[in-house]
Amino acid sequence: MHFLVPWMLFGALSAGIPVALHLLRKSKPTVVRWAPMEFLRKSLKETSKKIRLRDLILLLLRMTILILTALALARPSTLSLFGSGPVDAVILIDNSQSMSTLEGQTSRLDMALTSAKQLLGNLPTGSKARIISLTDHTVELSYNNSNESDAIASALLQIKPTDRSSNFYQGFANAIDLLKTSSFSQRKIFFFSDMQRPGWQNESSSFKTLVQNMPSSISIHMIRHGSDVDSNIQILDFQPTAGIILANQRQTWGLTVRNRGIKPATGIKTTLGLGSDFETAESAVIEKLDAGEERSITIDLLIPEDGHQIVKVVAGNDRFSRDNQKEKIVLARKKLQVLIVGAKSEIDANRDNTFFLYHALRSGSSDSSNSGIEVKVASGRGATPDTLDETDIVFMVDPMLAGSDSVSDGFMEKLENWVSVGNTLVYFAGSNYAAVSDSNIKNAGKFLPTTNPTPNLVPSTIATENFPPVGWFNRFRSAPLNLINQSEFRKRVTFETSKDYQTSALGYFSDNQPLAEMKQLRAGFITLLPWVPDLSYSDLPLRPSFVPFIQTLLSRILDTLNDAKNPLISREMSLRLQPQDLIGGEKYKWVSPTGTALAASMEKSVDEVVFRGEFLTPDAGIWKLETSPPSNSNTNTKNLIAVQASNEEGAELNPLQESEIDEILGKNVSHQNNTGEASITGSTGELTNLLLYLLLLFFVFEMFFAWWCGQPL
Amino acid sequence: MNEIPAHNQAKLLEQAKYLGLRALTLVEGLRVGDQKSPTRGFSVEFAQHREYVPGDDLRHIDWRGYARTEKYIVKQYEQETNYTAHVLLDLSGSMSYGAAGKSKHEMAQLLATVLCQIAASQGDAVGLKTVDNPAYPERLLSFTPSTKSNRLKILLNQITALVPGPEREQENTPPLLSTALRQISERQIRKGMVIVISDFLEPWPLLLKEIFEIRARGHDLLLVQVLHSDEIDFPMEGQILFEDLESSGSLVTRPQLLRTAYQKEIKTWLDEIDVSCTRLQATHLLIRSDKPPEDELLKMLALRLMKKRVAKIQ
Repeated sequence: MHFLVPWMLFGALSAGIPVALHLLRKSKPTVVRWAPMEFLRKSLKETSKKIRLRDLILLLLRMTILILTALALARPSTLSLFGSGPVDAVILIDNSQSMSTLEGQTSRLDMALTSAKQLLGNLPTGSKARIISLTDHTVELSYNNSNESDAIASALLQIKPTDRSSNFYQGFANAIDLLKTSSFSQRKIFFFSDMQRPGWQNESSSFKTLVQNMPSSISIHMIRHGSDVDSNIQILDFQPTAGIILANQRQTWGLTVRNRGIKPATGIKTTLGLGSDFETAESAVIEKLDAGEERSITIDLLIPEDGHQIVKVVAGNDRFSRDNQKEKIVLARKKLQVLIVGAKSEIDANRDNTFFLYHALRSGSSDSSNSGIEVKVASGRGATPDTLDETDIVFMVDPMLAGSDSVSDGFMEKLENWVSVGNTLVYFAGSNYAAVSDSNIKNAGKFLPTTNPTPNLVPSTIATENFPPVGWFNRFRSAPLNLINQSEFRKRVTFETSKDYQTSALGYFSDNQPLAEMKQLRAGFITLLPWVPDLSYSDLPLRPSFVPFIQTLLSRILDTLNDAKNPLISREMSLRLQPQDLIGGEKYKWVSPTGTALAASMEKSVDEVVFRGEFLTPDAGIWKLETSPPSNSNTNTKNLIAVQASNEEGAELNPLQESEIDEILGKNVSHQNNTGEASITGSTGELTNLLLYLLLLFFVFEMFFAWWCGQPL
Repeated sequence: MNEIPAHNQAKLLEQAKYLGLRALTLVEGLRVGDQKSPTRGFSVEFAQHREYVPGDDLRHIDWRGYARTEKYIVKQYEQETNYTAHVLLDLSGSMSYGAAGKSKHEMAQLLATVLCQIAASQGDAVGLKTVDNPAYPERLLSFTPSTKSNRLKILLNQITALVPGPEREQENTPPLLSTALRQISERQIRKGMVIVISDFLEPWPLLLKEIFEIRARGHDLLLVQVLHSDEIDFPMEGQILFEDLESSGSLVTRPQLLRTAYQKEIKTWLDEIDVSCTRLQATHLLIRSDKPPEDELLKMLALRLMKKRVAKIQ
């Protein structure tokens, strides 16, 4: 047992007051000259024992009351959380997305903050505390004085729920660093979290090393908030099945929904609509989704206007609601303008190497006149800078870049700028590029990689099993589209890589070389394919899966174009606008989905204006860039971005077991569960309440006894 | 003196005189008085019949009785006489308890005054003796019984002049009252009335022995016990040092804690006195010094008168 306010124990000395009063009373009695002394003596003899006993009982009662009062004020505690003496505490608060899960009417985060506040209030006198909120990055809140309730409340108020994922390692690392240099004998880390699996499993291997190297005087205490979740409906993604979003056309959207709970969910109403407030919407109901089941459904939607639009989907309603909805900003077009720049086929002089590609792109709709894609082919010097002005996407197929068949003057420079401001180029690279001598094309080397024919190529196929399991190309993992792997590639090129390249592969050949790669070029990107869709390279253009492949590639590319408007949640956000789209104003600010305003910085160049913001705790949802003071252009949808939360948090809402956490840490630590109302005070083992009850009991008994004895206090 | 207003005192005396202080036993006196004499002669009041013996006065032969029984019987008559009243007034240390005007001492003086005047008004001889520590000779009074009015006057003046004594040092005193009673029983020849005015706070067995002796000698006995209400009810509160008025003892206690037991002891003692007096055919009168005594005194006198009349009838 120890005492949280030990100096109050000196109050127990007041137990001597009743004794002193008792003695004082005896020393100064009233004197009465009395005649019938014999009777007095007799009656005294009869009752003296009773009187002495009563006196003793009263004295003991009064002393006990004073001692109990002193003890209660000294706040004894049997808590293993606090030993005796002050504590240097680091409070880690998990405010990742999963902490917004409701437990009754209260979120896990609110419960954790309440617990933390109680624990901070119960720290022994002279303690010190730092508060760190952590998701997958840490924020240390400046707070250096413990036992100041206003400072505590203020520090805790700064912790807001976020839509970020969990990664606890960095938080613990920061906490241990802070405590390493502490001079306190008691150094403790208190972690308030729902102990969700992903938070522990990210960098789990590093945890053990971290804890092993931690000074032995630092102790870790886990306080878990949150109960198991029965069912959790999660929207994984949604996109138009056609890839191209056309204005004023009813289109089918594909929605992927998953139940990440442990029990089936039924009657899941899924709504897809336009605008954050569902200006128009359509719904479908999933009758039942078993635990762990993932299902794709389709809903049709008509977007009446072209331009950037907000599309929102909501599915079901459960305790963790953050992943029940998603919003995206999409670009609805009246038509998709595609430019194909190519050259003559190597093996067939009567046609261009763009032939198969052209038809594949045109065949995207049953009614080609209404497909929404307008494809232009420019061969040789037909590709002029002006043609880019009304183009949305450029396919370049190994243009004959030699001699008079090279592209027009200035085309490549403009192409580079055009891509970098947010457009996209699909480059089917062939071996002819190596033979470039034209100065126009040489300049293109700045943004297009040099290629070399792949030497000694063993004919290879497309490894369909290596396509990503989610996303557009998932469909090629299974029949019938997986028959694309029967196509044999006899000829390929190899891109010269440089350290500036950062690409992401969309698929692989059977020899593990990328089938297609995406490379970022400022606001735009280039898709690099080391082959030409021509029979000189492979028989793929003749196969049934070629058209779906090209259509899927197009959808993937268009979807990626939207990524800039739908960034994954991050501390830094940015929005690129073209100068003509710049909203007027002197200062700019970001406005979050919850209405919080944050400063926005601006960088201007000839081609673009970039607005950036650093968000401590970004929310998923629609963020607006607004001028300050406000202007009419604040309603422009070009000023919007839709921040996307990771699906990771909702994938595993139930906590890691205590033994599993201990195993990850490589050490047994103390665990505490507050699955209902936060009661960190009750778990502290403080005996104050018990002592106060006893005190009241004794006090009442003393009053009654003293009255009965004829000796009220 | 006790706080009985003067006109009430006069009224009390008048009423008391009317009731008289009757001897309930046979007393011996030298003069004709109101009291019964133990001797039988020929007087006014018929007492009993006896057989005629030669020499009896023929005037006393009960001729009606002869007519009835054809035997000669004579009437005998009560010989009425006065008595000597001996008043013992206890002025020992224990009698000083009580505030001025309500002390036992003052009440005892009052009662002595009244009783002496009653007896004197009946033609009875009154004598008085005070009982006190011989260390205070000025407080020791002794008046031989007399019927002379001037003697009575002096007696009453002396009694009145007695003022409550100063605060005394605690002293170990012998049982003064027992001694005084013994002296009476040893010296007195003629049967008379003994009136004892005291708190009787001496060992009761000793007192009882002397009282028994007095009664055995045929004296009528009136015990007027004067106590303060405090001594009966014990109402005090708080921490009190009780110092004995007649010894060197003291005691610190809280009366509220002892009250019940004390009252029980006092009641037992008073009951014992009552029972003893009843058994000995003595009269016991309890007077509270802090309360007016008229009711109790007159009640006692009336009771004695009634008893006397009942006895005469019988």
